[in-house]
Amino acid sequence: MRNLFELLSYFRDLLLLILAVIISLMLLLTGESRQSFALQDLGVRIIGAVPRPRIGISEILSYKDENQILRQRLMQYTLLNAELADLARENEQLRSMLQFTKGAPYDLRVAEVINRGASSILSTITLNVGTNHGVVENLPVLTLEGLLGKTITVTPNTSIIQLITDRNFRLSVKVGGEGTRGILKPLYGPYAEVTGIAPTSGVQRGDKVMTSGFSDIYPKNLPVAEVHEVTHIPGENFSRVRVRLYINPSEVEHAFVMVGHEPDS
Amino acid sequence: MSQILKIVAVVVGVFLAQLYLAEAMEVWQIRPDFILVLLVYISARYGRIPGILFGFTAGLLQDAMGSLSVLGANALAKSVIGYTLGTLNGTLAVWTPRIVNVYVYGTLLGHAIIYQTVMSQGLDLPIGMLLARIGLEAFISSVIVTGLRFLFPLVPSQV
Repeated sequence: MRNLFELLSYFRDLLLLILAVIISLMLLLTGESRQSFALQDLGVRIIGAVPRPRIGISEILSYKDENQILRQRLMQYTLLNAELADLARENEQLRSMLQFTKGAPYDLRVAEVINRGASSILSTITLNVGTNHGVVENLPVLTLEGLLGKTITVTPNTSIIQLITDRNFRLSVKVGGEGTRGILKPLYGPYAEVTGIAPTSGVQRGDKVMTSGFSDIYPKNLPVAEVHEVTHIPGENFSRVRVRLYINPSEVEHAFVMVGHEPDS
Repeated sequence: MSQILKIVAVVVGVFLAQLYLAEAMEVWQIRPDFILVLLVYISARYGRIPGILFGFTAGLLQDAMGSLSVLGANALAKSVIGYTLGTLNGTLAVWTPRIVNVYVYGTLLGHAIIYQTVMSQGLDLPIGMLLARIGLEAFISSVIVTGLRFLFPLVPSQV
């Protein structure tokens, strides 16, 4: 017995390493367990408790460029708005003709990105809105470009967002003018893949990818991506459709949480 | 007591730098890992067991504060690095500087291999891009460690 203790004591650093590796592997394999979420909850609370330092020189310089881009975009949207107002009138007339009930408009809560995580690869972002601002779990989060993700952990003043680039993210989408349905899953960088698209669907490069509405979380027609490449592999039932996401999580400074859209779950 | 307070202050400072400074230094979607740099020093100065304990705890916290779907990737990589670099404690006097350098930078490369490989699972990442990411992460960490070694030697007795 004494020899055993001596042996364990001699190899204690190696045993500690093995224990740490086993726990790490268990966490990796049970990524969506309650314990994992409890740890993430702790992480987001720590982030939320530490205020983000404000205004650095690089931030001021980037504001100047950003202001220029926003001015250009404002002009584009002004022109687009005039066109959309016309279309909205036409749509209203058609809806009333078809006796559609008018859906309640979405209530968007503007939020600032207060953190992009502590890892060396961007996986999540944290917003400065939480339950005190009407945010709950499983609400869609958007940017001006398109869908960014959904709220996954919410504290009184912060919420952590599962990004559309997260490897476990899945989204029901429709592609192109025909609205061919498929499931979007992220790949590396700004790319994602839409599965379940038949070679006869007519999907081609440049087609828009939008949410299909077949979801408890995401309403339909939220912009998501654009088709980048379509590959037909002989003998396979589905085409390989690679899309480029509209958003770049590294550059997002502000986002909109659709608080008016209550998830069904 | 003052030594412990000093270490706690450094750890808190490094975590804050990782949270708020690292994103400003991002290169091709890879951010510097200041916690890894701190781990190099803690392991080299205090040995394997403190290295593993700090590596695992700090890695887990780092995962909890950012890696939603891959909880454990940093904890795994940093535990291994804590053990490996802990070997430096007590051997620096024996090893030649060249061997120490190869060992330290090889370990940083090892961290990049473990972490980037785990993070790329399921993302259909081309092998060339994976190797580029590994090389870039190892390069960024090596540059920071090299710079800091001029200011603070791995163990104080080296002064």
